[in-house]
Amino acid sequence: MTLAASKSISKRLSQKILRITAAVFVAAVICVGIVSFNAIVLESRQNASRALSNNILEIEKVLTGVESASDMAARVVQIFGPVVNLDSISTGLLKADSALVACGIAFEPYKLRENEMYSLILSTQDEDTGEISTVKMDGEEYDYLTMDWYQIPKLTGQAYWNEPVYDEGGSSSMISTYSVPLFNRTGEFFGVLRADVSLEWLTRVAEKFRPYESAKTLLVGKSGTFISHPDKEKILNETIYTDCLDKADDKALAVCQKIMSGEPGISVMAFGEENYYAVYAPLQNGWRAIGLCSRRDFLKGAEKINVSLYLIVILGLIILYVTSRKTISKMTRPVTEFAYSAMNMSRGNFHARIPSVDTKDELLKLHDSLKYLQSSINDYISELKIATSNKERMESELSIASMVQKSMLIHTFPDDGADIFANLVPAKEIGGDLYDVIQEGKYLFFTVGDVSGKGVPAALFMAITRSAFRFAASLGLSVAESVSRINDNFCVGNEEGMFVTLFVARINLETLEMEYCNAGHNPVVIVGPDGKADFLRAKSNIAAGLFQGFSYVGESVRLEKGSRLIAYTDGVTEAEKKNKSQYGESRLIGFASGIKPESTSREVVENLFDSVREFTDGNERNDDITILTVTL
Amino acid sequence: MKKLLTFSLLSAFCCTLASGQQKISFMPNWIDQAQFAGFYLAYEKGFYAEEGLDVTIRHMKQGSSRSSLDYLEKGEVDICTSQLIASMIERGKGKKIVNVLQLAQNTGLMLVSRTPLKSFRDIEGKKVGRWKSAYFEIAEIFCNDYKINVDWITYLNDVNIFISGAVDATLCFSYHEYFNLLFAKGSIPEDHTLKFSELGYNFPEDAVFTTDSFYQNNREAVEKFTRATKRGWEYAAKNREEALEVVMEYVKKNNVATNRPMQRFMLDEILNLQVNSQSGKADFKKVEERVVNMLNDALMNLDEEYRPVIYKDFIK
Repeated sequence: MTLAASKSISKRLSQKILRITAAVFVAAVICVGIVSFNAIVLESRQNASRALSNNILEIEKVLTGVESASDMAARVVQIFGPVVNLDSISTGLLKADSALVACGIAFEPYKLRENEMYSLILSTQDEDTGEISTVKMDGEEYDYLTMDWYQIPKLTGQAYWNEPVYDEGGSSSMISTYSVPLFNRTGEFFGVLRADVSLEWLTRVAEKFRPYESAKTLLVGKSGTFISHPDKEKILNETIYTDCLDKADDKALAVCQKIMSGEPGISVMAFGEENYYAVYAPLQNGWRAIGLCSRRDFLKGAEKINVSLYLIVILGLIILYVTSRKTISKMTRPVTEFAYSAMNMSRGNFHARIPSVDTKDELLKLHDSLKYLQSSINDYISELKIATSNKERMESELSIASMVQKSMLIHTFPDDGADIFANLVPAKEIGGDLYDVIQEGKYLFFTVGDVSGKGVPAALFMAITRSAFRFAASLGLSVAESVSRINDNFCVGNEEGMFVTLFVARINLETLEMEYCNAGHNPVVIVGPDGKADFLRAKSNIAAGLFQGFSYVGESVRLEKGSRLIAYTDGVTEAEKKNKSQYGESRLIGFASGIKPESTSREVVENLFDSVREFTDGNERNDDITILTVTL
Repeated sequence: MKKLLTFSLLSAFCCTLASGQQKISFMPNWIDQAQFAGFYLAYEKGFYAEEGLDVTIRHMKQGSSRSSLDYLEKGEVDICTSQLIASMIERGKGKKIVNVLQLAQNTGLMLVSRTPLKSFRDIEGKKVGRWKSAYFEIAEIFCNDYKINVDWITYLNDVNIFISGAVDATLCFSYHEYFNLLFAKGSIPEDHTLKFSELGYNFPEDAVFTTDSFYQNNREAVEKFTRATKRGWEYAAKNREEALEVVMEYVKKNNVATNRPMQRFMLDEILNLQVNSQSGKADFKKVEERVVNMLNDALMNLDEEYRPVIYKDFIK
């Protein structure tokens, strides 16, 4: 486990603050951006519209000059009729306006002369010399009657600015003709006055539209034809709709139709590969002027503001992130250090340094809690050490006591006249059970006992009992007297009130007569030579150590050769399973009944131990078990 | 493309010198445009030269008041294009011209109105623009048949007179003037148009003509010319972009005010008009005698002085 497994609190907290702040900033920037964008677009639009209006005014100044002069000349012809000196009118008009390159008056068939179908008086000015010459054209080779400049004013009854055309001389200069219909006093149409304007200046004036460096101007005729265009190839060859129709771009087509509708306005219009803001307005003569400003130029101001805003936001967010991260990191550093301290303590360093805290807040509480925890752990560990030491010492002493106790028990049994074997398995290190065997000539003394209580007192009492048994056996008294003597000894100074149940017997190995006394102990099992088992009848005596001077009653029985005695403590019959059911006396009798005749005493003892172990099925023993078997 | 032109010219020149190719002057009935793409392709791809012809293509001047048939009749060119009905009228007047190749099997004549037309009778009494001397005959026959009176206004150019409102409607060809109007207005609603082909007046249109005498004296050369011309049109139909390139070269060379999209539209429509509705392909089928007779009757109804043409003398 490491502390760097996930993002730190400071990082997460900083990022969360950053996210919230960024959202607020972005919302603010969007609002400000929209407002400033609209304001700047409006300003750019007004700026471009003003520039275009100026441009249009400059163009119209020339065109209206031509219109005024031509209208005046036309009025003269209309007032005086064909009788006036037409040459002087034509040349006079040509001289009146320097923008004009040719002027003329054309008549309806047979109106000027009865025999002339075509009558056109045309004055032109030599480009080099400036000399004006006037000719009369009356041949059908120049059929002006079907030409736009004649037909349209004739049919509409109004003056008309013709769509520009290239000069007939094949030069690249364009001319546009202003034609005025002529009516006599009765309102009868009789001809058209025309004034040709060179448009060489037009492109030059149009190009003055420079609200921005990259601005471009388009001039479009009433029929959509480009009159002025940055791409000279398109002039008079393409119309405003050519690209839209070629690409079947309905959106662009709608924009172009809006431009051609005659209303001033602004739209986004494709020009080449780029989109432009197109500011457009009509001229008085029906042409359309379009000023193209690249989006970049048009929105330059907005972009500057937006870039500044973006920079401020980005910078602000960076500063906010760094400072908040640093501050939060500083504030939460003790937490990290506490975590390291806790980690150290968990690894066994219970004296790990716990960082001090200057603030009086939650961190201080955490610090104090950690300190208290560290102190408590150290106290507990000290106590634990002492307890462990004591336990170890006691275990050591008990181990020694166990060995001492075991050494008190005989492990080598007499084998002269009887097969005897015994075993004692204490429940703990030391126990209160005992057995002992002494052979004195033809007499075989043995005892099995169980001291009240457990542990060290019981063990000590067991040692005393053993010594008392040995001493009593050596006196040559009857078994009952021996038990009475043992009892009396125990009762003296037995303030603890301890007692011991005893089965004491003495067998004459020659006569097989057994004298015995049962002092409150479990009845001994006797197995006859026929294998039949039963409890040995015994008179009831109290356990030794209870009442001083108690007179114990002994009994005797003659045993048969081949019979067995099984003396035991209550650890056998009271051995429990987990379900608390006990081994019991009937099971013991059953076991004894099943002993094979040829079995030795050792085998009987070991088999009974196995039988009890099997019965308890691993359940923990609570009592010592002692089994002694004598086989005659 | 310049290299191609130079190469073609050189090839033609060398072939002429080497084999004594027959010279033929040919005049389309209008200025350079995709309407004549098949002739340009036949020339540029060397189909005429392969037939042993040294063809010179001579265009009319823009705004010229003379027709191609006039140039033909006066012997200024050997072969020209014109329209079937216009040529019948000229032959009826006594001009010895013959139809040697019928190109367009359908008419592209149509009428575009400034206002919606609920019925063709809506043009009654309206000022309708038309060309000065010819090509409007189907409209005249139509109006004569239905007793519709219109005020015909002759013009040189349909666009400005229409846009300015000087006329209420104008005649135009679906491959040319219609696109002029379309490119001037951006869009033309369907209900502003009348197509004479859809009104039961779908007569063959563009064709190749020569004089009786030239045909009799140079029959083999005329056949070679028409054969190569067919190849030129077939090539143009299969290679439209290449054909368009050639058309634009001609257009630029002669300073014609037009543009590539316009010429593309024109080429597509011209090729459509060449498709025979019966066979479903451009088969350059000769005009049938019944069609000539039908037109003779219609023209006589139109003009009592019209003298009907004799089919076998006129259609070769």
